[in-house]
Amino acid sequence: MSLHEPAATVREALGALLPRLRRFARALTGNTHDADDLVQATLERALARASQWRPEQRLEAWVYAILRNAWIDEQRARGRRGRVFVPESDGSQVAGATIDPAGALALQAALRQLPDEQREAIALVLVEGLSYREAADTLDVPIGTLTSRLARGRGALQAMLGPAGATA
Amino acid sequence: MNIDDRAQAALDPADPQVLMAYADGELAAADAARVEAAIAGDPALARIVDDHRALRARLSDAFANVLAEPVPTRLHAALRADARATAPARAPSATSRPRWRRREWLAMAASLLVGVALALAVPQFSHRPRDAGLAAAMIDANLFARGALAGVLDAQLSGHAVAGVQPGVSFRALDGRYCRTFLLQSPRALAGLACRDGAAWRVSTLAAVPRVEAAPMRQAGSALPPAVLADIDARIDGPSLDAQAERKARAQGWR
Repeated sequence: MSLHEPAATVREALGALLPRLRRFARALTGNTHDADDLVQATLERALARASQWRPEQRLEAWVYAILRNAWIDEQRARGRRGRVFVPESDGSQVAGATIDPAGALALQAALRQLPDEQREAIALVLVEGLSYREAADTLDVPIGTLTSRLARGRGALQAMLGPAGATA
Repeated sequence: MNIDDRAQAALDPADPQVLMAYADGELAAADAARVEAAIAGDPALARIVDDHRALRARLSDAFANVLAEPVPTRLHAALRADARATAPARAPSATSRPRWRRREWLAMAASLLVGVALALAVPQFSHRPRDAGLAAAMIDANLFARGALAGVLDAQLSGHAVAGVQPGVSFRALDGRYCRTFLLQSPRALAGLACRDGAAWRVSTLAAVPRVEAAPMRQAGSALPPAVLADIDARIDGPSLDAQAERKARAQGWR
């Protein structure tokens, strides 16, 4: 394997990106198992298409786009694109209890309520820390579209969660 | 944002999307300076920027732990697999397709994880109601106060912190039971709501208290996280108990 071979470069970069891919997938899917299945599908697709990656393209954005598209495909396959999935927190809410020591489950539940396009924008910019330009490129939309999705998603989250920095 | 000279001249620091871009560090220096000048003179604008940043920090925190988790071996294996041996790009074969798990197992596993994590973090809780099996209790996520928490809820009036536990407000729920909010100081600041269930206190909500509010253990009512407040709203019947009513309820064993 030569380092100049696209497949080797992609494989190496994917290895370094694995933790972040898992985080992005967690934000998109809202649960651990779907997220890791999604990452696995993403790795397989990215390796199979390694020759399509162009070195002038940011590899991170290319892989995020593959992951996001794989998720859209999966949701279509389930016939539930845009619908809320079984939340991971269901098990802890069976008896009406909400157990959420870190506030993370409440946040994930709120994220799941967002339309897909807003959740994608939120996940890329606010969870993954991409710039508006990088996120817009990943989603293949104009930057104005990205910012308006981001603003709507933020407004919806703030409405659901209350002011994030609530004062005592 | 890409803002050319013409747009720059028209940039409105009070525009919600401009404030958002500023909070995200997306504005060029000159634009950022204009927004800074505007928010310096307008607390309402400053507040919007603060809210954006707080939400961003909250999202970032909520998912930060994923980075620290060990990567499952099957993902490392997928990475090592020869690309030519895996499925073609357009149509993944059935064998290479990830196994999407069954929701029942997923929900149960999540419940177990939450329960175990909580048991490790907070010794004041028990998952085991006295009259149910352990597995059923975990699936139902029934949490019962024990130790210091149970003792304080039984014995202390609101506002009296003992052993790092402070009861907040007490009230009668729509079903007639007494419920009490509480704050825990350690191992981390948690707030919750517990309602009387026989001789025990059943914890219906437990949520982290934002750090700012955690330090002083006072103003219990106003420091409660939204999840706890929502739980109270859903249950409360009438006003919260004053000290005299609390004493009376305590004398009757909160029944």
